[in-house]
Amino acid sequence: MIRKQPSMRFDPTPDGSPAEEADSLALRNADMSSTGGTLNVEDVTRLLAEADFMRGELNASDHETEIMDPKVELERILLSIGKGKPTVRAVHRRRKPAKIVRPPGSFLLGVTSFVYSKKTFERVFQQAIADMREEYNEAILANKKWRARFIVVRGNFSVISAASLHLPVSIVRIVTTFWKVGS
Amino acid sequence: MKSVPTLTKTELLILEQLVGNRELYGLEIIKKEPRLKRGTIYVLLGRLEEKGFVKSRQRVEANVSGLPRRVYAITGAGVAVRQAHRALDEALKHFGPAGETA
Repeated sequence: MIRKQPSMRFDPTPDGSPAEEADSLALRNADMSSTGGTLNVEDVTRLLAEADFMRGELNASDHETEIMDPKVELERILLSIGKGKPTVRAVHRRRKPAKIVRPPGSFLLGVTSFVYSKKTFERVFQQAIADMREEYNEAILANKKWRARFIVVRGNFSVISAASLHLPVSIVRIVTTFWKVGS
Repeated sequence: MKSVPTLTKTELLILEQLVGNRELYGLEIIKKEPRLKRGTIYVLLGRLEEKGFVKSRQRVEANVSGLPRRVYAITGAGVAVRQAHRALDEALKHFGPAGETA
């Protein structure tokens, strides 16, 4: 977890209150003591530039309100420097965006509702497609993707076979209806 | 003359599953009897309904999405014709070829 850090401010030439001057002096003394007392103008300039850079970084991190998972963050860093393990890379590869798909049998549902009578559609095709969807959902819940695919293929085949069984009857009915209307 | 409704072997299998159970839909019948096919079950149930051996109704379930389900139950005529078929099968078992009793 990355915690929010308070922003720091380094002022190289304090011209304000005596307290700020004292703070600045203490900072310079500390810098000099860490470098063995041989701090020159270039070093001071460099240190001030670094402090300014750090201030910018810390201010940017103030805007981060999202609490990140340390494991995910570690994986991200490892991947960014090219040291990610294969398992870590696989985890990142698996994260595909969710896809919205139509339920199985939607096309056949539309075709059969158009071709066949309401009674036949409700009693035969709608029920067969409902069966297929029930079995499909059971397979998906059990995380059996190939089983689900097989169920869709088998369900489509069973609906088509039922449609072919009903087709002669429906054709005779349609012809009879048109003949009655024509005569 | 009143026509006697016929009953095929597959239709008899469906009646056998419906006897003793209150109401079943096609998939439940298939799960109980694997010899029945998914593509023909609803066609056969429709024929049985036309003959008057089964009756059906649309099951209305609140809070359940999806396509509506039609459940089937056996009628009195269905029970009678099933018993008649079983009695006929039992009687035929006791007769061998050329009318000899077994």
